[in-house]
Amino acid sequence: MIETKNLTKYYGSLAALQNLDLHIGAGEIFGFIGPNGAGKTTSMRILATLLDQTSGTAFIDGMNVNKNGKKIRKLVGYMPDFMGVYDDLKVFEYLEFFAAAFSIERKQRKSIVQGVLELTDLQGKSHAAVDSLSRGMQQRLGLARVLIHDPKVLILDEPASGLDPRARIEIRGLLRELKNMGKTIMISSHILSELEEICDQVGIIECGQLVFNGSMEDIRQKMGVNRKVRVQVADGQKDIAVKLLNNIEDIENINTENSHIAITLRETKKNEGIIAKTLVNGDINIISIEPEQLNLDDAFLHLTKGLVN
Amino acid sequence: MISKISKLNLFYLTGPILEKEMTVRSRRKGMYWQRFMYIAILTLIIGIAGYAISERSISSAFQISRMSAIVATITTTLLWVQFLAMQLLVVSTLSTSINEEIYRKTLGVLMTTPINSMQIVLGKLFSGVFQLLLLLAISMPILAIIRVYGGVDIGYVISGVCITITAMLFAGAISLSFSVKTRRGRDAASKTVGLLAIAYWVLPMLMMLLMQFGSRFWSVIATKLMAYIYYVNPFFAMQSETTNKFGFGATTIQWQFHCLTMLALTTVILAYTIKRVRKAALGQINGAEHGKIEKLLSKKSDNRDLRTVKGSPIIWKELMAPQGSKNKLVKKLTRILTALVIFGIYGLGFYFEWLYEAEAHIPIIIIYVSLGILSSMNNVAGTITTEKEARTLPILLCSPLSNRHIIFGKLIGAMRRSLWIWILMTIHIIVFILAGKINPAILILLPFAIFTGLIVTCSIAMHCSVNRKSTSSAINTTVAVLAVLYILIPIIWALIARGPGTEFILQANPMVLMGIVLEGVTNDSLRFRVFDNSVGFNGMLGYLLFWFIIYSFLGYLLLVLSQENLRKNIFSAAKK
Repeated sequence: MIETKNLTKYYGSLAALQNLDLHIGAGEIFGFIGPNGAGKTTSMRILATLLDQTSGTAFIDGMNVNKNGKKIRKLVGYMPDFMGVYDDLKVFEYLEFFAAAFSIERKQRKSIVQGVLELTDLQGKSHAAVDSLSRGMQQRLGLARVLIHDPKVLILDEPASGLDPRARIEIRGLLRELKNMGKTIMISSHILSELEEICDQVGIIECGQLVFNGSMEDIRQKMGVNRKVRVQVADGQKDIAVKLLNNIEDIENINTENSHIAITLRETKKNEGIIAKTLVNGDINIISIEPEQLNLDDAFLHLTKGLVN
Repeated sequence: MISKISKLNLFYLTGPILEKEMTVRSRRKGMYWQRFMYIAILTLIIGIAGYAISERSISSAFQISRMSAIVATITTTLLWVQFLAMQLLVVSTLSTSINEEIYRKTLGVLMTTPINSMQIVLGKLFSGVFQLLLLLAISMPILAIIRVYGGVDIGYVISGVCITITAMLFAGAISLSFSVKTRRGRDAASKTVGLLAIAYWVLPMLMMLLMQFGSRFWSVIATKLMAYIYYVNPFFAMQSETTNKFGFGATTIQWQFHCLTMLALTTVILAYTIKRVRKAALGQINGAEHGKIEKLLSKKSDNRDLRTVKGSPIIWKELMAPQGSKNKLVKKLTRILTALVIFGIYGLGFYFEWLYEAEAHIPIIIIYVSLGILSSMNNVAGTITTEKEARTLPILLCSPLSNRHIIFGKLIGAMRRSLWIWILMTIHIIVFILAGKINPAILILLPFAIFTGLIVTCSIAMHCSVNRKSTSSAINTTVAVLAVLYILIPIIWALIARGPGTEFILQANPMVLMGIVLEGVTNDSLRFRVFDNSVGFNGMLGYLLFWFIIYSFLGYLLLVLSQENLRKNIFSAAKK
């Protein structure tokens, strides 16, 4: 649905984007992650037809964004990283204005506006002035606005920034609902953990270059997380357990940490069942065996170098 | 006691705000343009005077004999230009001082430091005033040099400068006060200008009317009030000084007393502003709180029916944009005041019978046209910049609306907001056509003349709106471009060419064209003075069509250029 090839953007001599290659399939949620100034917003603005690239091409639904601006705008709902509000309009009027701007027929506007208000849980606020809404409400209104013309593609630039935990959870729920409706969503954030639960695919960008592109599973693979297991055994049995485990060929490394034993399996062998089998056969009382959780902050630090444009 | 007095120095009064403001202001490009324009205008005034001497005199002996009169004219003109310019500039400069801090959310932050609200207000005021005093100082050497030729009393220069400075401080304090509660700079500026116009012009006129036509009771009250109003009006003080120094009359106002009164009033306004700033800052920290009346009004406004988008959404949005104050009470009062002024003028016109004179309609229609064009210019200049200021331009440009639709929709919507002025003017014209005071030919000729003026002004305003970051900047640039086109170029041309083509360039001014039309339709013979020729209806129509086509073409070109530039620098708007 979204494809970029060697997308490059220079602001004077500053390279905001360098040869960005992206491929986002229809119905996917793509998380675009990177530190501030990495080039996320620039990429999104190019896809939203608000900025011209220096070189390279970008396609949405097979159409070149530079040559089909008007068609692309009908296909895309873009939510910028800041919420622009008309302080003289009310919520319903604001949405109706954009419905009219997207050439939705007058007869249908009311029901469509009510539909998106319901979807974003803003029905009770339809008579409120836009600038009187809280930050979370304004973000929801921003989402309602991008949904008004039922776009196939949603480009959301940091929609959860500045929101409290409850509002973040609500936005995530809303995005899942939109995914179920078949929308392709490109969402940016500078926090990897924020997108973990909802993204099918993640792209990590730094200094205008894509340093990683894949699924959350791919990140786990790259970090070797799937190969790490933590075992807890009964008191006084830790040393015996370590001796037994040292005999297993599939184990690459063993470390003892307080009451736990941290085990790293060899890359080719990913079956942690052998650990339990060996320990049970050695009469060791196992309290717990659990795969190590992915520390997303560590993953982000591992994948990026901390460079800033 | 001594330690308290020693604290009363400028840096204690302004804190670090003065230094910060001076640094920030000196970095603004606009300041350099302002200085350049100011020097250019001063030079122009002297140039015109020089031209007048060399053109009209015959011998050098005669030129020398006229020198003192010329110097007196130059000095008076310079002092009056400074007097008017300084007040306007200080209003424009300080109209954004506090509201910018509020909308950048820095006012609350300032309050968490040892800086107090007095330092904020005085720091802002003095930084703006000091920058303008520099401009004022530029003309001092010129005045000092030309005094050598005689004809000017140094006392007149001193009193003129003092009156100017106190008037500037007073206007600045009001502008600063409005900028605390007004979201946009241009609103604060227009409120200040409106209030000053009422205080300096409408109120004295009202008193004069009461003195003239009121009952004995009202006449006595008005006379007493007028005595006070007279002392706090810098226009009267300046006029009084001018007439006195050139022997046209005796001094009626002690300028020293006037200046002290103005300073005292300024101090009162500043004290009130300091109190308001603190409230505004605390409101920002704790979440904005509305007053009781505002709360009631907003509650009432929340319950009103929602407005439905009809026709083009862009035109609809422009028409829905609030005009003037959001406060319903202020809105109603403004409407009542406007209606009173209109009825008052017409009432006086009929009472004194000058509306029965055909020539009286020339200035009235010109006032209507000027108001219509200025109002349209103001509205059009804010169309795109308000989107940039509200940071809504990117989301608007993400809609499938074409650049053409947005530009022309905004233009039409903004121009339609001034429709009421054109309707009033049309009613006036029709009434006096029926009364036989104006020739019906005006109905054909005047629209062409008005359209030439409107199209050139509005297309320049639209171009500035697309290319500038803020509404104030777009309005200022439009006014500057129009001043260059219709004042500077004709004067320079007149000075350089001394004759040939001057008339043609002067008549390129749509307001001059309008004057020719109005002069023709209010005389019995229906003759129009084009250059030195007197032409009939057809000749005038042809001449108007010529300018109409030229201006329409130029206007269209500017609008096309605006369309092209609309999607450039979308994200360069001033961040609030």
